[in-house]
Amino acid sequence: MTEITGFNMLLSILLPTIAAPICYFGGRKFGRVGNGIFATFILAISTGLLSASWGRVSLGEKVIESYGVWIGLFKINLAFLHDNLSFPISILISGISMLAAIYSIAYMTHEHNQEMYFAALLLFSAGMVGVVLASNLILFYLFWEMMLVPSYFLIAYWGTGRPRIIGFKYFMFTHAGAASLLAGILLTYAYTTTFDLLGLPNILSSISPEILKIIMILMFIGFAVKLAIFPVHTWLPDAHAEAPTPISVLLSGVMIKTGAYAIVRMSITLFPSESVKVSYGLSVLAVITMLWGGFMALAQTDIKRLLAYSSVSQVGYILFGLMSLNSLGVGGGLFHIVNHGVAKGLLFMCAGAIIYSTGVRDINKLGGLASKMPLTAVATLCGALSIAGTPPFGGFASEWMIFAGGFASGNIMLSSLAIVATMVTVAYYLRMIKKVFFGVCPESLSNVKEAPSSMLLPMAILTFLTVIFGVFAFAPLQILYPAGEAVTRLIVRG
Amino acid sequence: MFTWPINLLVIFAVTTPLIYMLSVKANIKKLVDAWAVIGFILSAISFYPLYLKVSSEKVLVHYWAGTQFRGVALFEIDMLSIYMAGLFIFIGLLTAIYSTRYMEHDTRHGEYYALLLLMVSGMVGVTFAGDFFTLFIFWEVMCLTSYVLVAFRREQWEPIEAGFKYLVMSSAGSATMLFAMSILYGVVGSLNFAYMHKALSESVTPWSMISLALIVVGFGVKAAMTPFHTWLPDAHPAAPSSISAMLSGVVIKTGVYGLIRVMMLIFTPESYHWHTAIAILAVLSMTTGNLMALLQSDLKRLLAFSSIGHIGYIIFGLSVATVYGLTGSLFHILNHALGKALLFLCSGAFLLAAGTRDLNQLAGIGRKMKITGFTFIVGSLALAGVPPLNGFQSEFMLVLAGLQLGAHINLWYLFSALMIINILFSVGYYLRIIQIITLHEPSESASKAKEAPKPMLFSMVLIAILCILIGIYPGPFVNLAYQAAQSVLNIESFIKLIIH
Repeated sequence: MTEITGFNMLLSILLPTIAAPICYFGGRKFGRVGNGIFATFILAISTGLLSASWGRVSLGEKVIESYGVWIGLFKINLAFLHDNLSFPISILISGISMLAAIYSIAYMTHEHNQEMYFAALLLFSAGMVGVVLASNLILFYLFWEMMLVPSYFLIAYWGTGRPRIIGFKYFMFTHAGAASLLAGILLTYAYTTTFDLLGLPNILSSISPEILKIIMILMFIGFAVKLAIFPVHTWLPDAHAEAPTPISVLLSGVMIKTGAYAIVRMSITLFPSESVKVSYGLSVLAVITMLWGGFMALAQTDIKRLLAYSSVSQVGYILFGLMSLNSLGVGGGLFHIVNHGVAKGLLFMCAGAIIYSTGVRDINKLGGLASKMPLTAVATLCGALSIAGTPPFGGFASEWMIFAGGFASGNIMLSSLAIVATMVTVAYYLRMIKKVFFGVCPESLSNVKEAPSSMLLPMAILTFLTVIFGVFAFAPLQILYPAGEAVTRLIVRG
Repeated sequence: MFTWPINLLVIFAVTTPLIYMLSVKANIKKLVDAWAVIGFILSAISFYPLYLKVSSEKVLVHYWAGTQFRGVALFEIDMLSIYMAGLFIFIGLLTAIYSTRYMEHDTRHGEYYALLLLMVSGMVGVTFAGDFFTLFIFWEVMCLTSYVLVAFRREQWEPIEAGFKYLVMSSAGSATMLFAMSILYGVVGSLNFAYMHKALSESVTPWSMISLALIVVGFGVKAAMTPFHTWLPDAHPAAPSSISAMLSGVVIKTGVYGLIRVMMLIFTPESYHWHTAIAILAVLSMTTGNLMALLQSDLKRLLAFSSIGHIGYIIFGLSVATVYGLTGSLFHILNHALGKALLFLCSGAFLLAAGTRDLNQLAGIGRKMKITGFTFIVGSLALAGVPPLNGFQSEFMLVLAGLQLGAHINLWYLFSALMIINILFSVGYYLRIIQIITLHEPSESASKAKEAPKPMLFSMVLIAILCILIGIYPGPFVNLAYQAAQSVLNIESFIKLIIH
């Protein structure tokens, strides 16, 4: 029980945490570029450490790293868990964080206080990875809040518009959600006297359904705020649009996905029979989220705000997939986490490149950039088509699975509506692309050049991935599909 | 006589004025400052063997005036006393180190350090006391010195007024307590805790109920529990910041200590059923403190109100009265002492650098004083209960204890929910001060500020590191609090040394 089994996962969280103060205090000496390279390097190592579990996870094993007792009084052990569910998402998080760090080097040129920026970025990434790896509820909550604090500072300090108000809104929304989550976690302990995620499913099945329902609702509120489900999504368009672009990449690309991860890991896994009861209601909510986000995106003129609303809409797809509660839908939802993470990360990077080169965010004031910034144009197109679910991009595979799952669970009406929502998606993306890249180029933008290559490199990598995940969809699905199957098996039993 | 930690504090307190005279005559700067710091260090060192002895023997009885007085004038030291006293001496030491630079521009250092040392010795004595006689003596030593320290800058009007208000209210509290003690003496015929437990813990009479109420008021005034809190928001901001750190960090905790000791030992919850009443007081305190803190524009006044809120959390743990509840309470005493002391020390550094406590004029000062600003962020987030800092660890224990009791008495679900809502509210003002201090553009008075001197930074950085350390690895610290909580509940071993 207290035997130590490896250090890979611990180090993958600890390294960025330790590197953060080094970045901060050594920042002046390293300079911006040195700091950025250092942060990238650290995140690359941590990605490497995380992928060490590949072999065992792909065989369907659970990799549990335990480091002994953490708080003896409550029998809480310090342990991290890699399985089919957490492995791909943790790689996604730390990989995209690494790309965001590379991207930041050039993007943050004109900003102040860069040493603190990279320190916060590292901490943010460590917190997100920790959430996914945590093997007990308290550790989970700890990291859940640990990702909130640095992201708040990143938004409130380097954001645009009215960053402090927006940062405050972001913090209070997610913290209120977290308080509800904490109440759920503590109620769980009060009834089961354990925080252990792996042991809980067996114990919880003996608790009365009324209590389970309360716990599940409390926890779900916390996850829903993070995931930005309709009516509690209002913090997202502000925060994601006004954050510095590399942070928008992380917020929209991966941070909100921790909410989806938590829904699979906890709401569905721990409370299978309760999930069945709420699945129809939540599917309706998911479709509303899709359509709401989509229509709002259609109405936006600010490029980053448009992308932020698109994230709200896409989160609806993920929730819809998860709530179909069959292996196809859940697998699709999980796959869409990855695809949307990659594609939305890419799109925010493209938007950042456009803002970096032109200094304009309003799509009505842009135009004809396709010939000036050809690489950005191609990357944007790939990202947009992937999210809109066009073959052969990654988004097609996952959205297809989500809809198939929806039909299989019998919600014909809702699934049809979800397909209609993809048309909205196509509409607002094509509108954006037309306005930004085609048409007449305004006078003021005639000298625009492509963004620096250190910004293009992460964009190129992500563009490549959107195509790869579409053509070779079986590769990520080999890992993700069993995760969906494992979860749905619990449903059948419950 | 009073065991070494207290003896040393008293000896150093008495000799401090002499040393001050000497240093003025011989024109050696900082001699008296160093003397006081040495006093605290020696006291801390002599505290360690005492800790070892208590942790092996569980309870230690020490007659400080000789054994001829059966049952009075004695110390009865258990893990709870050790836990609290250790915290008091530690914060006292850090405050003394901080004061060496903070009080530079004041005169009368001899008095200042003598009073500080005496105040800590009084607090330690309160936690060691085994009877009401001893408790009251040390209680008054602590109170009297703290009145003078609040009004230490006597040339200004504000400290005098605040000190006077504090004096009146706190003396009224002490008088109430003394009245209760006299009633109890009349009923029991002894002032010793153990005899009182034997006589009162199972037989509830109107007299014992009245004295319980009076004692709750007496200790409640010191602990600044709503509705007895009104002196605190005046006294704590008016005092020099180092003293505010002591007052808000630890002095109010002696009131909580008194409540825990007396209510768990003498007026046992099994027969006196005070759970609900105390829980209501706790919820009132936290709500008042947090709501009022939202409205303040004076940094130190805001922090003072937040102390009232945190006292509410601590009392909430007492109202649960299980081992988890008490562990949470005691652990939160430690965490709040660290966090609040840190914030007051930071605000002292800002005050010294910018000459103002007004939040609008302090805007952006954290950008000029980066290390102080960073420790300020750590302290605020710790008290806001944001993981992975220490405040979260104890707040989750307190809520957990409340929910566990809720499974038996549903009312505690409501109280726990109210506490969670309070924690959420409190984040609002902590975030506000963080934003104003570290994110805003520096204001006119803030832009001239320079980083605080090294001894002040030392205290602040050390506490900030502890806040992070306890948050990440709370195990050993929780264990200490757990041992203390267990020794509170282990009444048998406490009384068997007195009543054979």
